[in-house]
Amino acid sequence: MAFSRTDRVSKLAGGISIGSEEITAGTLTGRFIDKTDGQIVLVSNWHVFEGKPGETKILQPGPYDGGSAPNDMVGILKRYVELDRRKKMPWWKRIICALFGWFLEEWCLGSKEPNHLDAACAEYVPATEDRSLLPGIYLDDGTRIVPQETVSGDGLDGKKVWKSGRTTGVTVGKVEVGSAKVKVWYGDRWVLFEDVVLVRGECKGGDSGSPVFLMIGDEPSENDKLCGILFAGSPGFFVFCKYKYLEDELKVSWAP
Amino acid sequence: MPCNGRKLKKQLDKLLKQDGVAGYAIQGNKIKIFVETDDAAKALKFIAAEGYEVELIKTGKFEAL
Repeated sequence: MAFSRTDRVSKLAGGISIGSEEITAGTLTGRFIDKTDGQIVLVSNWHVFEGKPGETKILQPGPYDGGSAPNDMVGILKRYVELDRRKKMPWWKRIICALFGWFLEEWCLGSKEPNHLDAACAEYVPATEDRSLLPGIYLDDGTRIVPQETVSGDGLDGKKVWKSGRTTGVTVGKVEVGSAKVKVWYGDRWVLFEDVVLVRGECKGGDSGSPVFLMIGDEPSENDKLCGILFAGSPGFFVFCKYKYLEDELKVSWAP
Repeated sequence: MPCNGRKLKKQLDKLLKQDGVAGYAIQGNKIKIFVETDDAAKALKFIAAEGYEVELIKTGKFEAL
């Protein structure tokens, strides 16, 4: 039977349909290690795994592709990187704001931390025994490759990258800008992201969460290096968060 | 980034809040401004500090996918 990224897949790996019970469908980035406790976890975008940590079910395939609870559950949301977090206030400012916050409302809101990452991880808890979580990512013909190495995502200007996503599969692109500040629309509101990578390449709705690899040769291969996670795009462009922020902010690392 | 880099970044951050502006990047002395539409590009009024070259790129609107 031909491989389809939107089908229910028994051997889970990066590049297939996934989503929380609250969304439509996105892409599984892949298998990672949670650096806080050594557990194997599923990773995708926050807006793909959206929900309440410890409660929201993660389904494969995502609900739009027919996934439903309880049979298609593969995980439970563990944590996510909050967007537009406020900077921590020093002790003296906290006291002033506790006393006079009603008057100094705007000053007491504090400034925002820059957003670098739209990502979340989920505990791997399959509802049925026929499923396993494997390393690597799927290519369009259903073969699975396991690139071993990662790079921070810095210094990619002009380089060739590829992604593997639920909707448009494997597409190759060229990095237009290695570090950009962009406005990303989530429905009718936008969020600013800093130090993200802008690529001239194809993507569509449902590709969010696609793992992005730095291409070493002419074809996607196991020599390529994971450099980020796709989260947004427009016709002809996609935007990805750098791998280093998955390590530093979500506290997960690639598990080949 | 030249010494007036911080001021430039502030200017660009302000610009980013305008309708139709999708983002920007500073690469050495080149500023790339991403716009959502041709109309936004036409309406854009940005005067960069001396020594910077400005390139407008029509990227469309970046949406979470």
